Amino acid sequence: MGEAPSAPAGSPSSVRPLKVAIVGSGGVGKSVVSATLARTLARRGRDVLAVDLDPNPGLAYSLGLAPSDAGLPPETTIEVKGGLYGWGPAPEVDLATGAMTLSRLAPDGVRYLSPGKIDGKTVNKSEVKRCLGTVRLLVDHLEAPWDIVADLEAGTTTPYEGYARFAEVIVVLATGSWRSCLAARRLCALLPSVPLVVVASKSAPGASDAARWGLPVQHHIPFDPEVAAAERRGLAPLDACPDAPALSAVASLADLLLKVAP
Amino acid sequence: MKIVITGKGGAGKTTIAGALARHLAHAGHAVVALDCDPNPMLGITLGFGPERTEAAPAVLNMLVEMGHTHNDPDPDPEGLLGQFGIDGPDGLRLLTVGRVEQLEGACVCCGSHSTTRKLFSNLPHEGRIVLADLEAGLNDLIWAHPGREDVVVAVAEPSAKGVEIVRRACQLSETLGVSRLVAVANRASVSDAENLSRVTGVPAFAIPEDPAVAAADRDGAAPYDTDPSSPAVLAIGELVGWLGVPKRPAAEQPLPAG
Repeated sequence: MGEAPSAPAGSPSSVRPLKVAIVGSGGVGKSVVSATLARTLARRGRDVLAVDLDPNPGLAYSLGLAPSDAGLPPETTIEVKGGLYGWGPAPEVDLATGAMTLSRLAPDGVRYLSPGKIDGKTVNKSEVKRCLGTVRLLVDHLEAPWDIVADLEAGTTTPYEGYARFAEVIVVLATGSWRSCLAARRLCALLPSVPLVVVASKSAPGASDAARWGLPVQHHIPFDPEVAAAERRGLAPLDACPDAPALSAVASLADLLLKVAP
Repeated sequence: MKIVITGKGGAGKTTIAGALARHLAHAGHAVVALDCDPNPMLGITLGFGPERTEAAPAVLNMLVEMGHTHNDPDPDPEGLLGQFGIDGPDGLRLLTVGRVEQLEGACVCCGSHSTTRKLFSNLPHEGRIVLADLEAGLNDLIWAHPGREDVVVAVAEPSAKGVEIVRRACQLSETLGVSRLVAVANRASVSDAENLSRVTGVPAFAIPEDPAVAAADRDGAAPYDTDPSSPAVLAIGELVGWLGVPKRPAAEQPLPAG
């Protein structure tokens, strides 16, 4: 395992890791749900890697981590011409554990892996490609029994580009709005396996609206003004409003995911 | 002139793009609305309805079907608009750039981005307004590559993430040489817009929270049709005045027949 962070003492090594990707239209709450899910699993003593697959800032805020635009150091990556993602880890980085060694510590012991962010100062697309390609390859090959919770970029392009290859469960997230439900239906039709459909309402009633638009809703996270207020301020809901009802609904989502995971 | 609408996912780009295009077309401008999101929805907020929006041909998909690859010489953009655009109210024409329909495609390397780039760069815009509704986030803005003569409208809800993405979009636009930039605080108060202007350094316009828009969103309808005099739809009409659109439409260039 080399220099990989060691598992906390007492962590059951036989635990079957949960590998989940969260997809959906823009603004449906992917980052908030991903971050809260990751920290909730970590609080239960599980080893969790939160993977940020969006080159736009978002997940770090919801994790309660100081946002950083930094991607992977250049010496840790190497161009792989003809490779699946065009880039991969340098020879010194172990393919099986690199996702952990290149991650940084977030609240509750979650490890956070980021491909870096488009900072607005340059229009250099190749930097995103370098880091994102390497992160994706490392996440596909992670061998340690760590949970993976990945927050994908908005829309339907990410499954098309195979961003969720590592995932054993895919959560499709929608609000009650017609357009978010259409995006969710498009995603359900695109995905290679049957996803878990979750509605995170941005207003009441939400879940019944989604059912009306033909979405087979399997879990509901209620509209929660406290979470909305935390988002406004850029704070992690688990820090800003730990007792908010929406967070209990994310905890039940964790139960559900552990039950349905293969 | 050419306008791009950018911002974080869920900030209201498509809602604003739809109503803005309708206001401009109603005022007599020849409007071409480009839906650059490969998860296309602009037809809904333009008032085309769900069936026509879903059935609209997408340029990238049609080109792939016809055997083109991304290495081909650029097809004639005006011809593509004539062939694949669909007609809406007040002479408005909608062109859908791409639609993700299957997991395997011929242009996985660049998806719809390069098609956006070519159409936005090469579509003639003299005497008409080309209004592009971009995919969420900053990547599609880099691809669309607006320039000195273009207008960028960057939309944020009053959330820390949304404001940060608009700040970056403004910086990026300035890097690209864009001189006319407007930040929009959506579902927001005047003080939210003032804050957005302070953070971005560009003028910011507030569009109020509006139950009529929320109801249209819930039902998959166009706010411009369901409640044209609602506060947000009226505010989007006022936004036109911030974009430097000529007061009276220039000599109109007829749109190609469908």
